[in-house]
Amino acid sequence: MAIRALTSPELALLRTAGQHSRLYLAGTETPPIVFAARINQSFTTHDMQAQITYDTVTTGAYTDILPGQTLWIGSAAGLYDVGEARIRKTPTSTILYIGRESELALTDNLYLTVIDEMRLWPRHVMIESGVIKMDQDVVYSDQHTNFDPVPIMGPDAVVYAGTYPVTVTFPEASESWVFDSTISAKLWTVTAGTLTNATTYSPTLTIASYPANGRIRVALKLTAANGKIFTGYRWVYVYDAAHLPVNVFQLNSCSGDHENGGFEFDVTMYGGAGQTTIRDRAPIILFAKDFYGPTEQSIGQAAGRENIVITGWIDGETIDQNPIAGTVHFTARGANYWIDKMSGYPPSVRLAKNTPALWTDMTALTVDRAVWHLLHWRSTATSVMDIRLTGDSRIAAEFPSSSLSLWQQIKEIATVRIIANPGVDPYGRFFLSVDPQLTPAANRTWAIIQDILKSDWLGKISLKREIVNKISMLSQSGIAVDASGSGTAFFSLANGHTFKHFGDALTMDGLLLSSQAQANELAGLQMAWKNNKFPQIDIPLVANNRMYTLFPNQFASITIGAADTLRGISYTGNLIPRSVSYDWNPETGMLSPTIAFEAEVFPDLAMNGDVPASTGIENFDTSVPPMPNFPPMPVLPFVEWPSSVNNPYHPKVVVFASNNYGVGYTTKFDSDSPTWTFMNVGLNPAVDFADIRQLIVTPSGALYLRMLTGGKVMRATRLGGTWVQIASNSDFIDINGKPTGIMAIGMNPLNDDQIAIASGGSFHAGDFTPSEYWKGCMRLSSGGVLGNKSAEFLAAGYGTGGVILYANGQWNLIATHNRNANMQLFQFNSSGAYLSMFDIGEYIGQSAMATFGRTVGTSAKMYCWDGSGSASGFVTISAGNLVTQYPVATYIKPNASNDMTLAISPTGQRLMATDEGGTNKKSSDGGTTWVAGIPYLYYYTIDNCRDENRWILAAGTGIYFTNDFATANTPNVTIFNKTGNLAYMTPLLDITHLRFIE
Amino acid sequence: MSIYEYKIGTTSGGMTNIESLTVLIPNMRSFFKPYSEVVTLGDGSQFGRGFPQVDWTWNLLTREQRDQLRTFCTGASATVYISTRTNDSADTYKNYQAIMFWPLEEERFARKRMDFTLQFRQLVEFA
Repeated sequence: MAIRALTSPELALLRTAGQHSRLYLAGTETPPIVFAARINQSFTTHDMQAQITYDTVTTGAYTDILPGQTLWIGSAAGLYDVGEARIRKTPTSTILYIGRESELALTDNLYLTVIDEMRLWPRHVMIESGVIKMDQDVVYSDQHTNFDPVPIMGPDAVVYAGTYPVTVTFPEASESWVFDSTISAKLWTVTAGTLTNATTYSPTLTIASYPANGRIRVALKLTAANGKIFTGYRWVYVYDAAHLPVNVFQLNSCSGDHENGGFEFDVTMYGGAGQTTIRDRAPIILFAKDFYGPTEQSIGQAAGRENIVITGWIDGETIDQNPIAGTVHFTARGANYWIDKMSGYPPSVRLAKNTPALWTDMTALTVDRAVWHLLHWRSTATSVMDIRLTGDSRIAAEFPSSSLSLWQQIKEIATVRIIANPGVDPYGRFFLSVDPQLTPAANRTWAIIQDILKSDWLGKISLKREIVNKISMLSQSGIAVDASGSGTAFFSLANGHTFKHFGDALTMDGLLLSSQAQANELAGLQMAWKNNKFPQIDIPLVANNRMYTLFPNQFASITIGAADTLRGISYTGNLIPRSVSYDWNPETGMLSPTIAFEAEVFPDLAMNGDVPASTGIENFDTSVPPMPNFPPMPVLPFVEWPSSVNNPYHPKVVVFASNNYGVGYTTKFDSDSPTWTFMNVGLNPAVDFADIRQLIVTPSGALYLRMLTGGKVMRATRLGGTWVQIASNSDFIDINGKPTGIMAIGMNPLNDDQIAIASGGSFHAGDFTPSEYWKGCMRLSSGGVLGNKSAEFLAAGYGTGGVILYANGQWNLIATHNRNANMQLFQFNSSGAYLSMFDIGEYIGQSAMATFGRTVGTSAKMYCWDGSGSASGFVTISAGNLVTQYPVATYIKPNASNDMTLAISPTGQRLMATDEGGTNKKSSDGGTTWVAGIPYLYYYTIDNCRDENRWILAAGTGIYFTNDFATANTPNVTIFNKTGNLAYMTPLLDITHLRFIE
Repeated sequence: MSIYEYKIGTTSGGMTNIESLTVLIPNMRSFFKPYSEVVTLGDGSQFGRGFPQVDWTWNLLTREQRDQLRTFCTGASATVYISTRTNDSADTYKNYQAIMFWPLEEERFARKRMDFTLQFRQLVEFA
């Protein structure tokens, strides 16, 4: 639900003279009784009661009872003087299951009354023999993998019918949602009236007459594609000339506050406010009939519910009894207040690195998911109110919370980590939104409700102006966590290392961040917000204007000219409402708001922060002294290793690149089910993942990626490190000032951390002037530092790609010479100086195609292939530029999807490849003869593990390891599935490159 | 034959010209306010807001006439329906639902009521 701006006709109404309202209270009637019976058991303790045995049914049947309905327990029929409880689950013919209670003095023969009313209730956690259960007895199965759907039904409705029939619609229903699935079916039901389109998001309820008890229960049962079902409930309250709502009361106050997270109102009633009229904790709605001159119309943010002023539940009351006029005074408070009053067990939800098996583990844990867990599993909120979350995708490793109240837990999770505010609007809808002041300016796309003119406010406005900064330096830190749970810390500083002239230093840590740039922007926004020059602008609006609901984010705008203030202070811009207070004058019928706004701010200066210095503790020698010699151990019987123990001789460290989840790695490839971790900090997921064309790892452990767009070369110093760009096309401008593009990178296996980067021209249709467009050059990079350019040479390849191989003690670039030319071998000495060019041959390189190649260890021999020509297979180049051609008719053609579809053992005798059709092939004689490899799997990226038998193969999500050169192909004996947690974390993963490291 | 069209009743369809009530009520001075209050806006202009209001004032009512009016408001206030003149140039009569306030004090003199005023508040027009 997006905030909407006032329409022109609505603005005209708000500026119409003679406007007034009449206020009423809805929901005070006693709900229908569904079921009545008496307790039929004795209790040895009042503590932790979660079910009640009953008999003597006097009203209804147990099958009429719905989970979530309210149970009254009283000393006589229809009373709740002993207490109230929530029906927890479907009852049986003898037992009512209730939310766990210790506050009820239950005894035999007390009266039980189930009323048709759903409220906000806590659902308590039960820990039994170390097993966590939700709501007394719900054990974990798959609730954090296959999520329950969340119904969005809009607020309760109040109908004040002049004539029948009247209709009620539910325009927000299409915003119902579910994590990681879709809504597959909808079913609406009602207790009165007629429904049309009951299996769509657009039902219409037609009410032909006054319903029993003046209320209609509306249920929306959602079925998700994951099979989960959940039902939400709302109420339609109906009044007419013969059934008038309560209107004899005095509205003492009526307000909402952003910081408190919601709205409340305070009422004094005169007469008629007995125990049956105003029920404890009952839902109550303040609503209005509004008139703008002669036009009767209500204006508000909830379509079809504009007549609602505030929805709440009744808090404690003050009964003032005197002989002249007794009064009852009570406060109705929004859901935020009640959720804050619910004591909750610490949530301690953590990111699941494999399929969750506990209530404390959750898939792709985000703030939204943690908050959903609290609202859905630890309260009944998702069934009785709309829940809308941030959509923020930043992942957290865990959300520990020491707060006891559910609301405070939500705040601790959301406000501390991503500075999102929970709030309940006057219609009773829950929103979680990142604060507007901390939202990047480009993303502040919510509506400006109105441009406030001078004629829109009453008398004067109060403009508070801060002339001294509150904060002089802001030091901010946080982490970016990826789907595997590994984090990268970012530090930011606003404005810099020098304090502003005045103000305190502020440290903010524990934030969830995305990147260094995002962290810096956030620091700048924080700094600007803390030092807001106009933190409060109070505007008393003259009109009956209920459009400012505080939640979700919303704007007004204003222009205050310098001539309008004595000090010549001006402000033109957006305003953010932070609190609303209504002034009600029963004599005039005016319900006019005063709104406390603050001025919108934009980022202040910020920069990378300082990484904290080493404490020295990490270098502390924790080793233990040598142990004394013990006598030899007796020979123990053979014990079979459990399956989780690592497999000897399996590789340990492997890295891959994918086109949809970036780069992942594991250091436990030798376990049966490796735990993979992502390392994408510094990459832009929206662009870079699908742009990866090469992944290489140098002997030092540094990793390099080559991207297509812009020719970016990224470097991470280690596994899990941050990617930093070390080169791009702009580093390869030729001597004529013409751009060339990076087409290949390669590494020197004899140097710790040296790579070569080559550029070439790109294809220009219809142009055959090689000297103008097809120039390239090469630069070495050691430790991430870019060296000088080589001499220029004529080469194409940008956009398609070439390959650089270090063999025979020199650098070899294999790429297309120019358009339609054969594949060429460009040779450079070990220092990167250009030596010569050599035509490889006719079978490959017949057009501007990508070229690929791999070396045989550190020898002079190279295998090359490309994507051209149906006749081409592959070639080998040996010392002395001796070229041997292997036509596809006799041999195979390695797949041209990337540079890793052919892998070679150190001796060069064994090869494993994926051919053009995606079939795995292998050769034991250097490529002379080929047979099937792994017969039942297709792999597009292969790496050899530096011996003759061990090979890793991957495609899609699958990663397999063979320890016998795919000879026996016996699962779990010679071939092993190493997909591990990827199948769970990233089921649609598409691996494109893979490197064995150790 | 009634001279004016001032009416009163307890239902919208049951309004009676005050000159046709069981006890004839003489015409009065009516003071109509189209808004309850006029406020000053941020641009210095004036803005009328709130319900219309009207007062009916008689210089003198007999006790019987007073009691006739009392039947419409037996307590401190009551919801009634009236027809009264507005401030437009044609002195048009319009129908309103209103809350009728009975005066807290009544000035008695020789079985009469002097300077008797009925206040009608929260006027909502109806056709």
